[in-house]
Amino acid sequence: MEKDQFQLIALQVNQLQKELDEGNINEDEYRELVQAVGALKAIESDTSNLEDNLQYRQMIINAVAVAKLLA
Amino acid sequence: MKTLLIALSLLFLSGCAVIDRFNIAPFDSNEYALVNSLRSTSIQVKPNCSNISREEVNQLYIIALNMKNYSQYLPRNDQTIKPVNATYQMVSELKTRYNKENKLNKTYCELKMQSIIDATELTQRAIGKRPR
Repeated sequence: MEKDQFQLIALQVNQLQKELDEGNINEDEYRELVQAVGALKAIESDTSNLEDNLQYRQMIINAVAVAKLLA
Repeated sequence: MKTLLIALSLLFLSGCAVIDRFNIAPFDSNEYALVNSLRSTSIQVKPNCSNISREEVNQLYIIALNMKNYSQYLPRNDQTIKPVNATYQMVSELKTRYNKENKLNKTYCELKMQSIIDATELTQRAIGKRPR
């Protein structure tokens, strides 16, 4: 994960810490929301991989089409 | 013909990992609609967080459960199942907390709903790019 992504996660967790310190959420809710931040980053990674694979797939299809034309 | 053979050889030299990347389920409009439904309902419910009702929580849960169950056994759909399951987990936790306390803390609800909205948007964007 890139450095700025770590910073973004740290920022979100800090924000949650702030909510906890101000009494807007309790510890149990805080833990659950921190896990949600992690889950969201994993989703971002998974969907980004899917989009990369879709792009890769299209590239192969295009390459085969061009190869057919040149043959 | 020679060029085509060379291109295909290069493709298969990389082994099964290439085939896995290539082997993606096509666009499924029902799957897309379910993710969209969860996202839209979450956007509508979030402003009611100060007084969220049991019906609203149940509605979110039913949509999330439908979404998870629908995606689960679609062939070649592994890359969508993980984010879908993770999103379902978020909604399930929301429902469990509501059932335990009979209400939700406004700040918790808003933050949780935003996570669900973000998760569904990411998933929807990825599903939308699948080949037709």
